[in-house]
Amino acid sequence: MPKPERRRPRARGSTWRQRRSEATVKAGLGATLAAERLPASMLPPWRARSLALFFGLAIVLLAPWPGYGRLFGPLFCAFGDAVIVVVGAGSDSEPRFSTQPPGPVTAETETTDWTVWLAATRGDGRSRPPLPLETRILGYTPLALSLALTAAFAVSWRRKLRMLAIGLGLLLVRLAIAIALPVSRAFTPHATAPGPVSELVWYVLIDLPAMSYVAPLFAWWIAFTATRD
Amino acid sequence: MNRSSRELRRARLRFAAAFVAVGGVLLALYSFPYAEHGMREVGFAWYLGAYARAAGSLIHLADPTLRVSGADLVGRTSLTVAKNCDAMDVNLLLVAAMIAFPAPWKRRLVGIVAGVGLLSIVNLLRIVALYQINVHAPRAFEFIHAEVFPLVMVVLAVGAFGLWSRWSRQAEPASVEAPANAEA
Repeated sequence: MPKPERRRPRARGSTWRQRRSEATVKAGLGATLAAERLPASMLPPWRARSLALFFGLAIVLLAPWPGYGRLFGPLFCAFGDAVIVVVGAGSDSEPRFSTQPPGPVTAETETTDWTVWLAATRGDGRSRPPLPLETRILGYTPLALSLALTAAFAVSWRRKLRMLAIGLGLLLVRLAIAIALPVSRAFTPHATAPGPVSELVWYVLIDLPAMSYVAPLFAWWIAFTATRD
Repeated sequence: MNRSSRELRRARLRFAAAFVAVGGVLLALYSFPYAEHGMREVGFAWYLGAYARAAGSLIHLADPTLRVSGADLVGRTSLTVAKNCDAMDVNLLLVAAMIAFPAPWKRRLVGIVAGVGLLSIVNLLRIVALYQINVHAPRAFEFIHAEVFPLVMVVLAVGAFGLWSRWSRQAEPASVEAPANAEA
């Protein structure tokens, strides 16, 4: 941004040409400032301290600490079961999540602390082996990033809580879609190929690797826009 | 709420809506399921092969045993450049954000070319780094591949967008310098 010219008061606007020049400088500066004002205020004012705090929190929350997965698993199962009941996915098979495999699993199945199991509790589906699901990137990472973003952003605590509620709400809707789509597909009595719309929603919203990181950012943006101090 | 803050909120929501719309269309085009053995699959296989050859030429500097076969990198370890390994999702989301943000088209184009170029270079280095990690620390590969690098790419894209958004709304240098030129 150009610095305004410093002139002695006596010399200011003494001739028509100088006055015209000053007016042009002022107009140019005004346009520059107006143009800069929009993005500066449109984008959230992240300070260096807030950014450092965000990265610190993100590292702490996303580091591969042992035991995190075992704590998160039961929460994921409870949420997943609630989604299945509410949307009626899996119909008569009544599939449910559990942190332990309810039946025999194939020897080559690799599991981690973050693995939960999905199995039918009724009907013919019970004979099928339980399906493993990794919950970390799908469920935990977006929620942890949303928490880090909101906690690090320099606003009042009341606004942080409102932003957290909105952000987590949006991410839980995404997680519900991520659970309902494959459960419906896996436990349909006569399995059919997924329609192009549900396949696209799955790929774009859930399956793309960047989405687990972009979704919390977008949810945070919506929460930031929807709330005020 | 006063008028200016209402307008600001509307502008932010417009940006979010435009980002979702443009990003959704671009990602849908990229992800749309295509017929097996069709023209699109052939074109995509060629594209991934070109990506693998570019990464392979860099890896070859450190590992002369490396050879590239289609989208496969085979040397001291093997790596396949699959769909999404091209970081196209991050690229398309950056493009969507730049299109959705209120800025002159000329600066949007500059930002898109520079941003996609930067992300593509970093992504090639990511593939090179993943190959070396798979050679020297294979147990760390999955964590770094699935969690660290996607986060790094997104943070980089967000940083690039933040810098570009500030630059994009600044006045053109010519309009600021005009008075000085007039004086001269």
